[in-house]
Amino acid sequence: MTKTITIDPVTRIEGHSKISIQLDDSGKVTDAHFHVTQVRGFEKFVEGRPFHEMPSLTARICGICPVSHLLASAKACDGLLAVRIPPTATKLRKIMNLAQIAQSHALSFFYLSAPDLLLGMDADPAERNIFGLMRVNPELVRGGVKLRQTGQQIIELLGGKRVHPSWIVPGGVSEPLTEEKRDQILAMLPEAIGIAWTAYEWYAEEVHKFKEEIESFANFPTLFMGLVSPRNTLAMYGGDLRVVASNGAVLEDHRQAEDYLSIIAEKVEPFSYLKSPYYKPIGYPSGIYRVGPLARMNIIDHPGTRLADAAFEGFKTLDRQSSFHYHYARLIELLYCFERTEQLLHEPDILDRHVRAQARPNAEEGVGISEAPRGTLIHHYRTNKDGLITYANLIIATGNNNLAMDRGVLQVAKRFVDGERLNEGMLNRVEAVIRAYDPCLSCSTHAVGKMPLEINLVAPDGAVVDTLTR
Amino acid sequence: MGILIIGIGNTLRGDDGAGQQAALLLADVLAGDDVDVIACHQLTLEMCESLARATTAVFIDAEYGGAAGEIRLRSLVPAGADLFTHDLIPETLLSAALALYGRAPEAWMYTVCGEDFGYKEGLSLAVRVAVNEVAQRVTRFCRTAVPDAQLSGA
Repeated sequence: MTKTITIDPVTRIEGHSKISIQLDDSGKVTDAHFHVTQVRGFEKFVEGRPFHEMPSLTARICGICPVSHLLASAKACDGLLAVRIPPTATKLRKIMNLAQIAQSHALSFFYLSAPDLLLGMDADPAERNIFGLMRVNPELVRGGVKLRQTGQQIIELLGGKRVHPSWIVPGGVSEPLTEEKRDQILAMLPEAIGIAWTAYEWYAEEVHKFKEEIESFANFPTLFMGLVSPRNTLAMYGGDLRVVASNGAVLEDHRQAEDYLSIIAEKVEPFSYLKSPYYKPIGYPSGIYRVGPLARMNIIDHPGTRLADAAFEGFKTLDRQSSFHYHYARLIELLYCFERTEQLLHEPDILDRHVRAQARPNAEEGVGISEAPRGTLIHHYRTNKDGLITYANLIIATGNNNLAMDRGVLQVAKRFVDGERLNEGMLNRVEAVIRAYDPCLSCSTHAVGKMPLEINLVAPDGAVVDTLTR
Repeated sequence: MGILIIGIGNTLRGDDGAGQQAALLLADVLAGDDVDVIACHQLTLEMCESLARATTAVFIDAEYGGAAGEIRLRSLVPAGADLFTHDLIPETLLSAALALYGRAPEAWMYTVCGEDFGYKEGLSLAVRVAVNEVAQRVTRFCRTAVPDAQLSGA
């Protein structure tokens, strides 16, 4: 008699999803899937809109990482204008992207995942949250709050507001940076770097306690994809596409944004609204790849800033194909973001007032790629001669990881779930493997009130064999 | 920091934007006073640091139910510690301030009952009038330190 366990919704992630686990007669896991249960439709309803509206429209895809969409969209629009934006505008866009990544990583690590890491996967769910963490380690939470605040304040100083700033525009940015704002940002950075380093040092010790999770949280060979600089360091805004296998083999190197369709294709599965991108030359589903912090650490030679480089030495000693190490990679990137921001703010032309290239549409196709907190983000537009959108293809960072998340759920369920003896800790681990990717399924749609969680063990005749509720 | 005012609401959902609108009015009127004003879509955990530094916090939000434009006022105390960070309420934020920074300010909550929460910008007439009145009452408190009479039921 087969049975199905459903975890619905998956908690402490951005957006709504569920997990189903199929058991055989003896209660052993035979299959498992990650389902995204919401449909958005942005690619379709932007058709017919003027291209210059795209940054503002697509930023509404997400309330946590609107800056990422603004950037990828503006870059695609730069392509439609066929302009090369002023160098200072590029640096300012980079700073805003780094701030966006930092605030998102702080949310993911300190607010959403630290309860599992500090309180334990088996802790009481009533305690295993940010408030439980406050009671056990308020200093860690205060640090997380400060890091998130710092990222948000940088975004606000540059763009005028924390969420959905309209400062990034096709051709550059709408306003230059003032000396006063530069000094304000610079004044925040030493404390942020100090907190990030302390958190890294703490976690570098803690990580070794999670041997079982490291072995089973999506620990399998895949490809890794992301942007790299010409010197193979981290490139969050610009750079070229690189695809590297788990064994270190470089499959694609320094490919331009416009080439992405020769690298990636997408498959639709009937059990999820989220498409499954895959590496085209290998095919589906063997062309499984991962993006985001773990992938970025696996495609670079080193991050490129002093403390992040030091932390990267620790990363190199880990089992680099385990998705559990997204957390470790995220902390390295937190360091990098603040250090790199400091470097950029000391550039001699950072206060230059020429920050926007003006042009009319000069091309009917544009592709923009940047690194979002969760990975490589692609916006691809085509327009008619009037500049109205006729085609939009958006490959969202989280979508790139869909196959790996789906397969990761199966691996962790096989390791931890025993259908004859369900407990909270088993099921939390199944959720936690998804949480490691920090998926952003849709931040702009929220349930009202407290989200319920009910896990039912159901027999084929519909009888509920076992239930866990939260 | 003296007084912290936090106006909450979604300005794309009609009267739900009442709190933000009140906060924006107060930011203009009280510019130069020892008052910090935050106009936001929703409460976030990062606000608890500012809360811990304030002597008094005034939250302003829209409310569903009641006569359009009705103003309600109540005292708040820290409470609740098990909610997900996406649906923080003022009491939980005060609780977080207390847990993380060792203090939470005296706090009140004004709500304005709305009548139209549809997909639109702008407030209905009754809510607009009420928002102006809330702004006047909060301004009076900020300038005189005399608590709103409605708090004691007067």
